[in-house]
Order: sequence, then structure tokens, then C-alpha cells
Amino acid sequence: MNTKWPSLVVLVAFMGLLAFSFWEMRDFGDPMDEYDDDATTDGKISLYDRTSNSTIEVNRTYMDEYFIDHSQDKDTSTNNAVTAIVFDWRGFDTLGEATVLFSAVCGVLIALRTAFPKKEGPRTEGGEK
Amino acid sequence: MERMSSVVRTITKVAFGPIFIFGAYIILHGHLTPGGGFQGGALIASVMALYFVAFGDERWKKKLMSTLESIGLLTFASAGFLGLTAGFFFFNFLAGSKIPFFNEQIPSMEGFVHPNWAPLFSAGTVSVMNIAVGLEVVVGITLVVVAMGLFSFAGKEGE
Repeated sequence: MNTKWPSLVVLVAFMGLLAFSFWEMRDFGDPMDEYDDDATTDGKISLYDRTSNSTIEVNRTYMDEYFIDHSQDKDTSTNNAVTAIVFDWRGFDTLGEATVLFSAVCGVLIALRTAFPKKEGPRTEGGEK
Repeated sequence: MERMSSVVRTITKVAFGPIFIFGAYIILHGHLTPGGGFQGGALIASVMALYFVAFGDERWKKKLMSTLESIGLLTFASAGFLGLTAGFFFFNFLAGSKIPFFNEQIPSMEGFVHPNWAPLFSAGTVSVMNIAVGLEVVVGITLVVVAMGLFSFAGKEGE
């Protein structure tokens, strides 16, 4: 029996999922398409606004516009909106990135711990040999 | 390790300073211009790798560099945790506060000619985290490159 057909089925299913999500995507540059009249959330979400120290209602898909509007004010006072998102609003994600880098360096140093000479001066003997 | 030819060494001597300064600029201006800690750190780490390849220097202070990397990550994490004192996790408690540390405000846009102007000591914890991540990336990638280079040379030497 050919063993290739299960992977083919999985591949076709995955491609179908991707195509489905692609058709559900909103148009390029249209943030409110298809999400405007959401009945459950009324098209609004509440965000904490530090400038006025209160909760404000914004349109549900205007998160990007919130970032653009508020990255330079008292919220973060960061001129670079991308850095404001990466290091402030999504700082926890960046902490994970830094931890990944840290553990990668730790792993390399543990695996290659014989590379560094033991003391100052020329190495007398390389590695474990 | 062997050092490379005098052409490579001379070019390295010339190029080391400008690339290093450019990397430091990318890190320190991470909250103002495109770039940040990761990008500038990779730049400085690349110039460290260039120095290592050109001169074959073996005197790397591994303990000091490991300590600096830990300090970078700990600074990042503690800057996130200190936000708890003012509200919630990763709260930018320095931006716009009265603590005189990276707390300058960006002037309002009215009447401003250049829309991209901002003071260097702004953005609060974003700047601190940029510098911390930059330190960590510089030391970490340099350690990885140096460890791999020294290890491969040690293998060749034993044959």
C-alpha cells in the first residue's frame, strides 16, 4: 500500500485551510471591511488611555490607528512606533525573544565549553584530545 | 589561531571604528529611528567577528562576557517587572513621569516643521530595554562566534 496518501490528504487539508483564511481576509488597506457591524462587541473595544487616565472606546479594528496616534504621546513618548509596539505594548513577547537568544548562547557555550583556553596565555592543548 | 594577511588586518583596523560607532548609534537611537537593540547588536557582533577572524585573538574574557550577557537580560526583565510598581507588567513607568531618566516628552506636532524630531532621552523603559537587548546581543553573538571559531581550530590542531 502506498504510504504517501495520508500526507497528501494532510497537505490538501492544510492548503484548504490556508485558502479559506485567505478568502476571509479583508481587503488591502481597508481596516473596517467585514468587521464593521459586529453584533457581539458592537464594533468597539475599550482600551486604557494613559494620556487621559481613563478607558476609551475605539473601533474594533482600529488597533493600528491607536498605535499610530498614541505612540508619541505620554503613553510611551516613543518616536518610532514599531519600537513602541515591540518593546512596550508587546514587551513580554520581546522578553521571550531575549530569553531564546540567552538560552541559545548558553547551549552553544555548554556544548563547546572546551574551546576556550583555561587560563590567560597561549593554549597548550586543544579540546579534550 | 592564525591571523590573516596584512591586507585584511589593515582593512579591519580601518573599518572597526566606524562600524562599531554605527552599531552603537543604531542601539541608542532605537526609539527614534528604524533599528533597535537586536539590529545594532548584530552590527557590533559582526565587527567583533571580523576582528576575531582577522587577528585570531584568543584572549577573550569569557567570564566577563557571560556576566555582561546576564546583566543585559536581567536589566530587561527587571525593567518589565518594575512596571508593576506603577500599574501592570511592562508598564512604561518612566515615560512622561517625574523620574529624570529617559522621561523627556515629544513636543506636540503643532507648528513643527520636521515631524520626526524627538529628544534622545525620551521613551522611558523602551530606551533602557533597547540598550539591555543590545548589550545582550553583542556579547551573546560574539561569544557564539568566538566559541565556534576556537573549537574548530582546536579540532584542526589535534590532527
